[in-house]
Amino acid sequence: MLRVSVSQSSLQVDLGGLRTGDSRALDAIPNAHTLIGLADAFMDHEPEHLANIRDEAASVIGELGVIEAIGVAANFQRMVRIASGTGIPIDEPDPEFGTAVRAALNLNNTDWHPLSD
Amino acid sequence: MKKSVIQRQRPDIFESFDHFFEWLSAPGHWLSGAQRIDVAKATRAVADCPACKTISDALSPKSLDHQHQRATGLPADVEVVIHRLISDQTRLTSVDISSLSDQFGADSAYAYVEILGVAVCQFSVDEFHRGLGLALPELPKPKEGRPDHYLPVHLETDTAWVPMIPTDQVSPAEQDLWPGNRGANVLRALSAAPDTVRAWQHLSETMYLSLQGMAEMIHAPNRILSRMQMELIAGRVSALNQCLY
Repeated sequence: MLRVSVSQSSLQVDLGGLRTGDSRALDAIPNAHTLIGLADAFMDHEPEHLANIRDEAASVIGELGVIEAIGVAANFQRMVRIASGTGIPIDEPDPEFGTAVRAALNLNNTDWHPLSD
Repeated sequence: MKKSVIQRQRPDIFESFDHFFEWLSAPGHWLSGAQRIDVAKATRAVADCPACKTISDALSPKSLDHQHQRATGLPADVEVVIHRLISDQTRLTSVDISSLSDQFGADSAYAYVEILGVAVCQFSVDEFHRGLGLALPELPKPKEGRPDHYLPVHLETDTAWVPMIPTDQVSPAEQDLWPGNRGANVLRALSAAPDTVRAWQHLSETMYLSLQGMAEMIHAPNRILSRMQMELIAGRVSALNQCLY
């Protein structure tokens, strides 16, 4: 969905940043560094660290922005488990598009682990 | 941030949680209200389960003989599946969920869909609270009644581990689950228990976007974050969860 959203703008974004957490690859998106930091802290399960990052993020994107960001993060904690828990295959309405997204995310590399970089 | 501040800014999110708890406490398609509350309790217990941490770090989930922390009177196999769904979902297989056939017999695939739906909805509500430093909300009391054993007229069994409504055979009763024939697999995944799809979609409408809102790729209505910013968060959380879908 990020690829679709980016494709409707004039921004240049390297989706590989989603995998590595390197926000410089995604810098064209406003406040990418703050949002990636918030998502990472959310997934780290360290309450004090998350509280600090949340406060920092609120000074950049506002309290409402933080609420929305945490809402999206929590929402996808559900959606990824629906996908993984049912064994659904990837939808392929446009095989070319799917191939491009998988290449950008390095999903064809079987050595890949999102936390290894 | 205090809950009152968050509630003032986004009351709709908490209203959707209240709606979820109403749904959770009532009998479902295959589980009673009490069983559904127990699924929610078991989901919460994962955070404090020492075995989950050890097993998710192990080379194979089958290589250790640790016992998951029991939290309810649900059959042990059901609690194990819930723990795996929450803490080790990428290594869950169709073989793992077949253990439920001992509990639910021929209906086990449908019961599993409802267990999965309840567990992941509860998990996402709790994750929202944890993410904002809020105490977890109290679970509701179960309502009396029996499961209705409802099944959609048409189900396909060759796409995923679970039966799903085919995109081209949606009965009138399920026309509300997705727009037209655009039933992506993730929308159809829980459709064997249609009310679970409605439950997660209701939560998604406030925590993320409605199905209609998802069509707006630049700036979703009534949101501070742009669509790109929302998808940045979604993509990063999905990557850290090793979700290839």
